[in-house]
Amino acid sequence: MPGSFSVPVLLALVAFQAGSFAVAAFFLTVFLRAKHRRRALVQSLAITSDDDEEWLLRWRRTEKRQTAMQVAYVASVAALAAGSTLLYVFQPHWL
Amino acid sequence: MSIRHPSNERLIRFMRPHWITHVFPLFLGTLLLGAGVLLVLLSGFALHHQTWIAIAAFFAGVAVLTLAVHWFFVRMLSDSMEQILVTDKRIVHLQLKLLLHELTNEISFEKMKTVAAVKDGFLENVLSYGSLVFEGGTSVPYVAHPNATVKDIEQAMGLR
Repeated sequence: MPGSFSVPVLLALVAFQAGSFAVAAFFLTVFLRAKHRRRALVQSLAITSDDDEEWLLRWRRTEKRQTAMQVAYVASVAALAAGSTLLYVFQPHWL
Repeated sequence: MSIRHPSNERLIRFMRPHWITHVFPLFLGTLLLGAGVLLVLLSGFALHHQTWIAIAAFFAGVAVLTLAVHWFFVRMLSDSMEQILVTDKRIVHLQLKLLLHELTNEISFEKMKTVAAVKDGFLENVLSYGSLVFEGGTSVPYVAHPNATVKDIEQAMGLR
């Protein structure tokens, strides 16, 4: 967008991305709390305990997958924030 | 392999829903990402005619991309919390949709005597997934290989 750069628009973009980070942090906090609540619930159902190797293996596998998703979530939000801001600031010729 | 607990309850199966549940979020996520990228690219074309349209298209594109990323990951994280546990005494279906819905459905074999595997439609038969339907109409959907699961449940009912 050559020639269209303006500081207020840039500030609006930065504020928008900061809000996006806040939303991601909120969702991840809710998710982590739900995950711990879920584990406590399953244990309270007397189906499993921390001594059960098979349960632990499966739970860890699920947790690894969830952790990978959380990392990908934060990375995507960060990439989008950085990408859109850089795109606006540098305004490559093809845009 | 099964686990015996001090309460004499055996964990027979630990299942997650069939992968078909991920198809819709992937499809819609891709669609939204495509729309967002298209809007950002279109902002470049609009610039030479109307600057404010270019800025509006750029912001709309970024907003759609942001929405797509948040919606997709919240949906996938929620789906990862869905589990189905089968023991020799009960089935526990755990489901969570972040901030929207939480379900802990416990079906005891003491009250339930029959269970059916239902594979309805072309997709369910080809991809081998379906629902477990219990007495009273309670059902657990998107179970992979429901016939094998029902066989295990029936064995568990007989072992009580």
